[in-house]
Amino acid sequence: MSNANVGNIYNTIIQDVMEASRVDFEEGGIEESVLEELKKGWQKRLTQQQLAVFPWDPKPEPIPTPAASAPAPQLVPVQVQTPTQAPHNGAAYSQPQQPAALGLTMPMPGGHPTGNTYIKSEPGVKIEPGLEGTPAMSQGAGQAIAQERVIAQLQNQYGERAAASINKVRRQPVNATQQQGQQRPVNQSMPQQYPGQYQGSPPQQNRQAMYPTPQQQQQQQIQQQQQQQRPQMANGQRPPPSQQDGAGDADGHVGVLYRQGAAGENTEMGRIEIDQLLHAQIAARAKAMEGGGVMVPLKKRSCKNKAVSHHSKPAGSGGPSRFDGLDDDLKEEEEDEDAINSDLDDPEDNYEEDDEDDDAGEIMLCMYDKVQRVKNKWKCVLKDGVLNVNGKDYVFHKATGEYEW
Amino acid sequence: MAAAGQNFYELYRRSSIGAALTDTLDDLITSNHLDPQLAMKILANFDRAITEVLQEKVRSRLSFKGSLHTYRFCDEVWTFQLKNITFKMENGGQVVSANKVKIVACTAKPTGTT
Repeated sequence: MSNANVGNIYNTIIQDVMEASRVDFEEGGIEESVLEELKKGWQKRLTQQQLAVFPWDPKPEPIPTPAASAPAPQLVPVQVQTPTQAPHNGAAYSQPQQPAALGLTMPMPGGHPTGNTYIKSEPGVKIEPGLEGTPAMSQGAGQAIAQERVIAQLQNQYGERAAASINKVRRQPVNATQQQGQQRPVNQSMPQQYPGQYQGSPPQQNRQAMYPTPQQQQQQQIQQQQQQQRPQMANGQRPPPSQQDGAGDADGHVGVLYRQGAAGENTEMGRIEIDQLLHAQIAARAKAMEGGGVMVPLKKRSCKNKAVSHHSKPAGSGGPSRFDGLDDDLKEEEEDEDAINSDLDDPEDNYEEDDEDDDAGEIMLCMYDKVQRVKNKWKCVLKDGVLNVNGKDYVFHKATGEYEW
Repeated sequence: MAAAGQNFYELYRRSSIGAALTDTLDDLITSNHLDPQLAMKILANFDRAITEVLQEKVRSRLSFKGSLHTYRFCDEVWTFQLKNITFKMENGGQVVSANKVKIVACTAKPTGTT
């Protein structure tokens, strides 16, 4: 039982009605755009019900393809891309091919020793041609200093309780730099596409990425996991460095926001404090806009200003917004309705009665040619019907039914 | 077949396509784009259009079986409530079944002639 022709039949009906109604529209002096609107709305409703495949619907095929291809580039990290280019790059670089394991442990020229093996990949970032303006030493050192500062702060403020946070902080900048190092080959395709240009100073992280060992791949997977977990990390931490961003942002600022007090001392701000600060600023800005009377008629403006300032007070203090008040009103109305209405008016009471005579859903509308009954056996011949079963529509020219009472 | 002025059944307005049209017309009336009289004309056009199209363009046949729960015959309109019903398209072979289906059938003979 197919309903493939339903779409065309319905389309024919719609066209027919549109043609016939055009005259009525002209006689009634109604614009034809309304007729078009009627057609659109009619078709849209039919589409929403998914009764059949309609000729006016867009083809469903093109929709999945962009959706499937969109995430693909992001999901092609170093592991996938680089091995294919490895021989080419290896030949182009003047440096001999190094075993991949060496890439991890190789002493880095100008690398800042941090005592952490993860950081070894960091110099790859520094030698990057685009980064020549940023000295490697200051970058690494600045980061280490910032890290120490954060740890000291945490210890001062929270003592033993901060141990977990400190551990996170110790780990985090390392992750950040390594991510930068690892992701650079993907994002900056230049060195890979024109390897000859950089023969003199091959980016180390490229080399490292070119020959990934299982060990390294594992590491990268761990990093990716860490990257996903990072947004939930401790308060005040810097958000993960953007992949599109240059490397210059590792400038020693670890992302704790300091507020300079009146006496000139720096106070560290936690996430909640930062949120409150932002909220207050946004509220102030909103108030400034409203107060400017952008959307307010001129004559109402003076009194509106008063109202605005009255309203924005609770918002500025971080309290509940005025929308809460609106909600309360609605609730009150609902309660009032319940109080007035008796149970006899309860709409649910009539529900079961209606159910017997339910029009929505499974219904067949047609003409009958013949209806016969012999005892409890019925036979009927129906024609020209539309049928709605299980959310699909069917049309038929002739139908025969046999059923027992 | 469809002579001018001939009255057509309004029963197809209850179908999904008819309901979709009615809802759309309701919206247009509510937004003052359309006056109700014109909407009634459009619905009359729909009655005619769907009757003609079903008569002339549709060629599929189907058969169905089930158990009759309720029957009613009033003003030349049969109403059946069937349970555990299976529909079969004649050449498609695909079977569709439903727990409960209501059938509303008007007489195919022109009104007035029995």
